[in-house]
Amino acid sequence: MKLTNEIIKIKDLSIGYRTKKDKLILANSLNLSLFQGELVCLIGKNGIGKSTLLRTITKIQNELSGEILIQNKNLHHYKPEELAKKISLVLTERIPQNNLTVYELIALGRQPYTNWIGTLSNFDKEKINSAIKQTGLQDLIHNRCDELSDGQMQRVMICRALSQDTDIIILDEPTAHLDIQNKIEMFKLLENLAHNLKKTILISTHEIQFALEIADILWLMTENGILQGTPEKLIKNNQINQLFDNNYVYFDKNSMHFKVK
Amino acid sequence: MKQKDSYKFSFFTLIIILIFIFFFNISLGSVSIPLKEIFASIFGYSSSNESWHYIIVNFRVPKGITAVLAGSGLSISGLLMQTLFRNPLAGPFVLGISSGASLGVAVLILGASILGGSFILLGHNQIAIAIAASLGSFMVLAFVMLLAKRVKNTMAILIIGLMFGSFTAAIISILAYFSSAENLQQYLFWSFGSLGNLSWNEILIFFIIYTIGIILVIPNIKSLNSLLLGENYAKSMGMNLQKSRNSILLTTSILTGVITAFSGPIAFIGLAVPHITKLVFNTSNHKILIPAVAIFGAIIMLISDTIAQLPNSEYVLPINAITSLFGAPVVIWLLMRKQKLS
Repeated sequence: MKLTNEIIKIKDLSIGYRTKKDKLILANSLNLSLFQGELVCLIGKNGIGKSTLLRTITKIQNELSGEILIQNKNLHHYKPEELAKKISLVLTERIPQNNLTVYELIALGRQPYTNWIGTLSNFDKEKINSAIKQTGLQDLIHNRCDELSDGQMQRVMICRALSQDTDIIILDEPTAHLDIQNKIEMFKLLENLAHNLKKTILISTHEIQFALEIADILWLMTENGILQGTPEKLIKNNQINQLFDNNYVYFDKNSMHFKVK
Repeated sequence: MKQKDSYKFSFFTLIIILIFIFFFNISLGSVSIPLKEIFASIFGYSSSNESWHYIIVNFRVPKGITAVLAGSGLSISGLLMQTLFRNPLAGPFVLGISSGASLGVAVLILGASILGGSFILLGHNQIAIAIAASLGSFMVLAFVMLLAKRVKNTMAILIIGLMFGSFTAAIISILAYFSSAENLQQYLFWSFGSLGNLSWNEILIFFIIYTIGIILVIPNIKSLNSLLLGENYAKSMGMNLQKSRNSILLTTSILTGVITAFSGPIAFIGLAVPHITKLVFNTSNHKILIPAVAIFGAIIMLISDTIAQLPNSEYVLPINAITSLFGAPVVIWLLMRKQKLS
């Protein structure tokens, strides 16, 4: 099936930090697109600006110039509550210590839809339950969040994003701190959400090998901007080698792995 | 569903305890009055002893009501601050909001002797004191918020709050140095904290402002729950951070301001009660926590006051001494517990 429904469009975007006198530009004139049902992996070395890009797209931080369109409407023209119905987040930061149960935390995802005091309607509860089913958390819903392992907690945070019922889910390094089995499960889960539930998923990751195998589109971030394309395309024209700016590592097309010289 | 029922039961039990302690508090004091006479006075029957009746209606009942208002209001303020700053050690007292109120009152009472004139009249006016305290606490809160925007580390904000407390104390001692003995005494007694001495008219004003504060708390419940996941998540769930933050701060300063104005700076209640409540109720949902914290705060304030008046003796200890005796160990225990976790 050909995907044509453009969900996010980034035009001439410049990201970075603005200080009083100066601005620190991390990336310039970015032009990117995201389509419905795509799983996009943003890869690049540490400090290149992956998190900054995600933070800019999610309005946590402001862009220096350019424009971000969410379903053809400028990001800044959305009211907070409207935007919350379009984009949900899974961040790397740990949530503060609290007494929430897994169910209560997931239910917080319904906040953009609930009334002024936050009462859950039957429809809200249905959405929560289907999110719980999708992420396979049925057995954990009465546990306390501070009793969970890292892998379980990450799954809960994804479930919360899912209950927020948005077209777009953006995850910042969702597989950091996870062991290999949890990493595989996490990628499988995200793939399932994108391809079966038609969610548009954008993640940043250092798991290049998984990203190559699972992503529909890669955003390869380098000092010169972002290279956008399918993993096959980036491999074929050797662009994937730009991920590393040294000569010790290269991508071996035969084994489809990075190798050390 | 089962959970909701158990909350109902806990609330029912707590309210019974609150009512019991309220009457227990009223039944004790420097003059011993038979229980039968107490109930007779409260429910409007004429008492056999005029002075007993007078003591109960015009002294003990207002004091009990003040304790309930102050205890519940300070505890709610503390809970709000702890959730907003995502710091278990936040509270109106620690963040310097109470110091701000003190400064407001000090400027009014002590400044009177320096500036003279109409200020002296204002210094004796309970309403003027209330306004000064509210303004003072709001100013400190706004200041702390301004810094909080720049300083991301919440521990640093807490230390800034403590520093502001010292700063305020310094200004107050300068004011005290130049003020008259009479004004100094008035300020000193106010700063000891006192639940008594309020007339029914003053209680009415106290109650009205308190009610406004409580009503303002309710629309914040939803954003307080989002804040449990941190500011970035809260924003991503559609919360207008700036607006909610300001609204929470305004509510806190109204409650803390009015309570500090009418009963002096009462330490530790706002800090300790939310923790005790969370231990008992074991939830983070503010829809449950806010009423629970209010009832707990009222109960603990009434107990503190009962101890402070040293039943059947003619001495009354400053309420601040009792709440600190009870609150400081709670804070130490909290720190120890946190140490174990990290």
